[in-house]
Amino acid sequence: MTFREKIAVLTLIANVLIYGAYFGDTTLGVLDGVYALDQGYLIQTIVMLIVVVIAGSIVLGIFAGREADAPADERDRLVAMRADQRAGYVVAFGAGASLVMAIAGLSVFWIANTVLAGLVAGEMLKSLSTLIDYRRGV
Amino acid sequence: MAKPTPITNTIRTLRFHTGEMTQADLAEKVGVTRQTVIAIEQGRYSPSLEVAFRIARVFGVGLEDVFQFPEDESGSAGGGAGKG
Repeated sequence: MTFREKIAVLTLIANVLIYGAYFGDTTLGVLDGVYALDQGYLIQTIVMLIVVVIAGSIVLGIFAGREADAPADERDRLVAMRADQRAGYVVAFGAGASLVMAIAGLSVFWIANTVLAGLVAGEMLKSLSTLIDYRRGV
Repeated sequence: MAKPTPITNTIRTLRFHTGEMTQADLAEKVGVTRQTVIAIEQGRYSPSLEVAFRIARVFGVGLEDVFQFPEDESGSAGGGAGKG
């Protein structure tokens, strides 16, 4: 597995675990009738993801050696472009859904979490797309 | 695993006949990563025209000595190209 694939796996796992915990807690709160946006928990979740991905990338980079410093070639750029394109559809869908919610007059809780869900789903799709394209070919 | 491209190549053979050149050596000469050379050899990636020419130039052969496009594929994909 190449360095870029390992970064994609790291990002995917970090997103699933960290945002999975956030959305799991949020869903449990909704089931209990809590519809308040916990800004502290949200910021803590985002910061935790950033820290985990950066720290993990540094560790992977140390073990990858020269490969981590190698500039992206045309295949790497194509894989990244396809991943960004696919993720873009999901993020746009999330943004559109949150816009509809705003027009419908739903609370900030639903709008913020829908935007976040779109971003997270987009990021996960981006990692998945990267892995699939590197494995299957482009 | 399905190959996304119908294009085949003889890079492995050409490497063997060029002093058993390694994939890493070829990658360095062409300016791509070793993983990309592996993907091209396995038919999992069709390189750009520029990289294809660079590969052919490394071996000192023509483009079609390195890359081949099957007749039936060209017949269905570009059947009208020679008409008119």
